[in-house]
Formats: sequence, C-alpha cells, structure tokens
Amino acid sequence: LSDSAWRSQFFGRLAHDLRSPLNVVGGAFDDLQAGDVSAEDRDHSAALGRRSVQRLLRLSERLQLAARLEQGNLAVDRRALDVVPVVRQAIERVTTLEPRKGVGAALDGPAHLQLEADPALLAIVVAELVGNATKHARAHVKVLLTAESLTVEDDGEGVAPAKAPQLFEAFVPRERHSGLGLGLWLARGLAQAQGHGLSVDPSRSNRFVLRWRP
Amino acid sequence: MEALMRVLLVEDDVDLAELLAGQLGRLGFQVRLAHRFSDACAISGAGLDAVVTDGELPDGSAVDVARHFAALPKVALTGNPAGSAALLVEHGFHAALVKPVSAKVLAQVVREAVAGHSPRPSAPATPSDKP
Repeated sequence: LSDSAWRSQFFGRLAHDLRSPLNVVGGAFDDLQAGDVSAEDRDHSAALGRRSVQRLLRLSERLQLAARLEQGNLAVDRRALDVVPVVRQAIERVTTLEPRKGVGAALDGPAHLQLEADPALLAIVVAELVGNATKHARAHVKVLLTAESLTVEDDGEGVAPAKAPQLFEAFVPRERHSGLGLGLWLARGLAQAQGHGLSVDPSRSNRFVLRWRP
Repeated sequence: MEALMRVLLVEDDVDLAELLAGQLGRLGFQVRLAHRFSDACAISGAGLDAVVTDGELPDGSAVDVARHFAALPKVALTGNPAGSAALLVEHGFHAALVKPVSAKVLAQVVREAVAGHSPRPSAPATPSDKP
C-alpha cells in the first residue's frame, strides 16, 4: 500500500471504531433523560455507557503508546516484581471491556512469579494478547504462565502459515474488519522495550509466546 | 398499539448491540442478537420481520448479510459516513443510517422498511414516496 492509501485506511478505521462506543454513550444519555424508562433499565444503560467510555479510554492509551513506540521515546520502568497480579488484572480488564459471548479466558500458573518487567507495559502486552485471542477464539483462551514465558492460546482457526509472519506488522488486521491491526505490533514493541520477546508458534498461529529472556 | 416486530440485530460492538436491543425492546420490538456474520447465519429468517446490521463485521459485511437474508427488509447501521450509505441501498437495504443512531429513529426506519417491503393488503394503494 502507498503511504497515503495506508494513512487514509487507518484514519477511516479509526473514525469507524470511535462511532460505536460513541453511539452507546449517546444512547445511554437518551435513556437517562427519558421519563418512561425504569430505574433498572436506566442503570443498565448507564453501565453500558460507562464501559464504552472505558473502551474509548483504552483506545486512546493504545494510540498514545503506538505514537511513542513509533517515535522511539517510550518511557520504560523495568524492575523486579511479582507479575502474577499484573497478568491477572490485565486479563480481567480486557475481558471486561471487550467481552465475547461464550468465550472465556483462564489463567494457569504459579501464585507468585518474580521477574523483571515494566508493570504498566506488561499489562498492556497481556491485554493485547488476550484481547486478540478472545476476538478469534471459538470458546476458550488459555493463558499459561511459567518461569520462562507466558503463552496465550485460543481455540480458533488461526491464520494460514504463510500469513503468520505478517501478524506483527502494524495496521494489518487479521480479519477484514477486526479493528486497527494495532494489537500484536504494539504487544511486540512493548515486550521488546522491557527486554522480553514475543513470537508466534510456527506450528500454531493461534499460540503466542512471550519469553522473559528472548 | 403497533404490532410486535421481530428483528435480528447484527452488530459486533456488544455494548451497542445490547443497548439497542434494550431500547428497541421497550419500543415494542422483539430483538435477537448476533455479533458476527457467522452467528447471524445460524439464525433462521423464517421467524423474523426485518434485519438490522452493522456495515462491517469481523467476518463479513452488510452486503453478506443482505445476500443471506435476501427475502427480508433490511436496514444498515454504518460507521462510515462517506459513500457507504448509497452503496448499501443498492444492495437491497431500505436505508443505511450513520452511527450514532438513536433507537427511536432506528425503530421508525425499521417500521418503514417492513411496511414498504410487504404492504398490508388492506392498506390503501399509495405510492411509497418516503424521504
């Protein structure tokens, strides 16, 4: 793609992706103002509106990180920490904000795992991987945490082997209209920035491995 | 009181789908939800009066939905103001509304789509000259 075609495609997708959450927020306000909507229904609509605001906020965070990654001025705060709560909270956040009916994510691993990472960036990497897996899973997303790595795997179809290397390219969505194509590129960049390595299993394109020592 | 209208809503944004389903439900619609084209295909068109679909789905598009539910009146919701609306009307959509869309407007347009699609025999035979 030419530079300008690429740019217009990206901005078009971004504009498109803003409209649904904005529609939810606007619709929730309609319900809050309506005289004929029950308190229970108003509460439900308000909760949906609030979640869409959180999703817009997450989109803004991702765009800011992408910009910093592109400019090469990402601030990294790498230190020794227990990554288990970071991983757990990241999974919880993304499955709350981007749920898919009938798809669940399960974490398997030790109760504590001490290693070097930037907690904020690690949380984003995990959220991107689990978000991506949730989007493409049939029913299950498995997250396996070990002293060597964190593996995220879904039970979806994956992509054709020839396409696997493209997965980490920026702005190449895996499906026709599945978002900005930002997630895996961002995840790999943020993983590398904190000294980790992210790759796709060559034999299974729906299994991503984040290695603590690349 | 207007007749209960059975609608399939295909929208990949789960919050928007849920919000619109609730609002349309309060406006007298019975709404079934699908978040992907493949989920929509699993639903029989036999029990439906109309289909409302997002313009772009993770695994398909409004045009795919139109082909699958060829016999039913259809309304599209699109996030792309430019161009896509006219194109969708060419593919058999009664209308393509650009998000954000209020449930009241959507309900009105769906009712028009259904009325225009299969006019009641008892209704006076007026030409449909909707805006």
